[in-house]
Amino acid sequence: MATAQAAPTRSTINLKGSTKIVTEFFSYAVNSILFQRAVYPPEDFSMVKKYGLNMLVTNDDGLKTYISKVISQLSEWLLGNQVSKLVLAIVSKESRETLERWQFDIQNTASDESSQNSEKQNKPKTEKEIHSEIQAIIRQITASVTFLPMIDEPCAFNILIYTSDTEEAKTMQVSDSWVDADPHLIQSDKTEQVRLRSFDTSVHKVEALVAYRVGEEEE
Amino acid sequence: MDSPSKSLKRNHNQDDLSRSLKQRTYETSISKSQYERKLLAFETTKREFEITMREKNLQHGKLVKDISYYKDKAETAHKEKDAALALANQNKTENDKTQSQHRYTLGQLKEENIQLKMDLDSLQSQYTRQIHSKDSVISSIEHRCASLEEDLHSAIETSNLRQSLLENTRRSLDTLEQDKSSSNIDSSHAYTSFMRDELSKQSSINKHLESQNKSLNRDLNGLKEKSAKFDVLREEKLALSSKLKMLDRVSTQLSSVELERDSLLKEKEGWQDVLQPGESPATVTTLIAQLRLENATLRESVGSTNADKSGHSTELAQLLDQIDSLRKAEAQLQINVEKLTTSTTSQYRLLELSQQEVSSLKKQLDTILSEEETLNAHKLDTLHHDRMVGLEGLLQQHKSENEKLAREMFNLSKSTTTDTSNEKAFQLKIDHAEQTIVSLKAEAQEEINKLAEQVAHLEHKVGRGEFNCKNIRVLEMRDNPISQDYAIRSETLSALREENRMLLEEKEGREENAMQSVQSTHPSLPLQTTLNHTKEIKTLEQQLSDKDKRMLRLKGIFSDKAAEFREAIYSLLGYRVQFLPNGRVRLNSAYAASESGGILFQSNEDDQGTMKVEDGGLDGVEDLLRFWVNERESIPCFMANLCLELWDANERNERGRLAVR
Repeated sequence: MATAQAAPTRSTINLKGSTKIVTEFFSYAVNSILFQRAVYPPEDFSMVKKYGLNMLVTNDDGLKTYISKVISQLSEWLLGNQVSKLVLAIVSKESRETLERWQFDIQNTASDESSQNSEKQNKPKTEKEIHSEIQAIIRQITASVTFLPMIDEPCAFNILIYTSDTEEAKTMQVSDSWVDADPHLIQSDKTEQVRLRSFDTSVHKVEALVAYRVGEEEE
Repeated sequence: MDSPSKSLKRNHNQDDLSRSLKQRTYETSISKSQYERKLLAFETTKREFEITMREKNLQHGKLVKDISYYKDKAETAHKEKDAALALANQNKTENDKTQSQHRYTLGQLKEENIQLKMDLDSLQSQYTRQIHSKDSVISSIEHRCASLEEDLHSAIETSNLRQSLLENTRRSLDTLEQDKSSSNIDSSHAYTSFMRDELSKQSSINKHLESQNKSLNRDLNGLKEKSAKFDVLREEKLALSSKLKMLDRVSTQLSSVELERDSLLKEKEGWQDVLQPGESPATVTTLIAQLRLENATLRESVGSTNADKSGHSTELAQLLDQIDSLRKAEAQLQINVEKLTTSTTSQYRLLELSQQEVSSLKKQLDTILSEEETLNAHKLDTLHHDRMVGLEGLLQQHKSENEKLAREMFNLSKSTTTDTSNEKAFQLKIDHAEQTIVSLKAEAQEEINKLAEQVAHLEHKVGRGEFNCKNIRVLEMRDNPISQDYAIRSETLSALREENRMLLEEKEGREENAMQSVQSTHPSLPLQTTLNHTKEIKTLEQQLSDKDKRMLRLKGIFSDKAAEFREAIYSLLGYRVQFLPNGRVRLNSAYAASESGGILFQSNEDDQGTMKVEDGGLDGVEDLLRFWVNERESIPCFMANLCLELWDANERNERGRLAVR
């Protein structure tokens, strides 16, 4: 017996969908930063079309595996509302000094009571609107090479995940592949920072910021 | 009658004619003057044109001069440029020559270097061969020496035997002489002769032996001298070979040690940078702990300032509430005052009205009294008396009312004075409250500015990576790119340390003891060289993989572009191109009836090609071939014509099929 059911509306994004959007954004953002900041050689990257832009994605199998592992774990923690921040730190191989910190603050607006009231008033965003916001951030990341200092030494990078300030996050059990990390601070007298755009999925709000070490000759 | 009329007519005509003549003359004069004016204007314009022409001519002359000057200048510049170019070319050729000479000399030097290296190698091999041959010579000499010594020993033994025999024979001779002298026996001549013969024989043998002995002694002395020299040579040879080996080893070890020293110095500098000069990891950790404590205290201070801010904000809100309530009270009081003033004015009006009524009643009373006097109406006394009493009562009532109103007015005036004093007090309070509000606002603004600064400072701190380590954990993957890099570095460092330790031990061993022990315990290995080689191999492998990746990508792009190109040819020219093996190319028309046919082109190494038309479905292909290819030698025209013919045939077929339907 056929029952007439209304098709589910796609206007509202749930936690799972928002987590997927956010993790996908992080994957592309990390690849973009690694390409733009020449942490890996440009031959290792190939072009793909995403968010209406030509995005560069790594072909290095080791790097791909690392990023996919981080992203899958991040997705799990985002679903449990246990993450407050993701940081990509670019570190000099020679001096082991942190040169740049790409910081992405993640705010769960669905669980946050203060923002919940204000969010209720806003109408839910479509995926296209979210993609346009993400596109703006990616464009800013691409344009950041104009103001960021040149990196003329061999570098490595690390992805740090900051837990949220909750009791669950404090006592959460992590797998053996994850350990407590050094926060890779930049020296306070040599830091400058630029706040980038943000995007909002109506469940998660991601705010981007880049802090970088300024050389002595540039001061 | 006719003549006067005619004369009149004639006169009239004459007048007309004279008038028209005059008009004509006037018009001609006007036109003449106009023409004259025009002529003048033309003359002036002509003059102007002449002047401008002259000017233009002058300008033209100037321009011609300028052109010639610029031409000259351009020519000179061109010449200079040519000269500079020639000079530059000359310099370039010279430089090229010098460069080629340098390259040539470099090549020569390289060749010389290689030759010298080869010479060195050959010399070394020659030297080793010589050493080996000398060793063999020395061993043969040693053998000979040993045999000669044995000979010497045997000769000495024989000489000793001969000497003992000689002594025995001498002794026997002496005894025989004694016997001869003592005995009187006449010896026979035969026996004596025999004895003499024997004696002479013995003496000759003895002499021969003595001479042999002498020669052997000489040989022995020579050999003894030679053996001493041989010992010296052997010692020297041993010392030289050991020195050579040691030098070889030292040179190889020196090169490796230098490399290691450089790398270790770099590592040391890196570690010094990491650990700060003169600071141990413990101090670094204490420093980090201090920094974390500072961070925590700063956060606490921020929290306290936030709390103060919230307290101040609540105070501010309370004061604002008070001000609002005071304003409301003021407004209420003002409304009350207005009400009171309106009520007093109304009371005043009522008072005036009542006074007017009283005066009017008094007037009425006066008029009534006057009427009573005038009319002497005694009958109406009682009525008048009653009315008077009534009016007097009314008057009293009005008077009492008037007094009441006066009292009320007095009370109201009193109350208004108290209200104004209250209002003043309220105004003062409001002023005071406003002043406090202003001061509080200023304080709050300062606080806000301070807090904004603090927020900026804290944002800066957060940006550089500080966080609340009590509540938030920072996690990373155990196997991350930095740890991988660090592991590789630590591995190389430990390998270098191990190698350094080995080398130091080797050095100490060499200083302390002989070479053999060192050789036996720690054979020197060119570890750094092997590590460098392995690193080089890794980088080369990496480069190779990168090149492979690039090649794959290029192949992909090439295949995509080739497909695109073929599609473009198909859509534009109507032929599908297929590149077959052995340099063959097949073209299939888009309008061909069957896919199997086509035109097959083949070319050989002599750049001579053949064309084979496999499409036999179309009539007249042979004619086209003859017309275009054989007679006019144009394959593109044949292709175009064939395309048109095929299209036409296709269209005809389509039309026929439609007609059949």
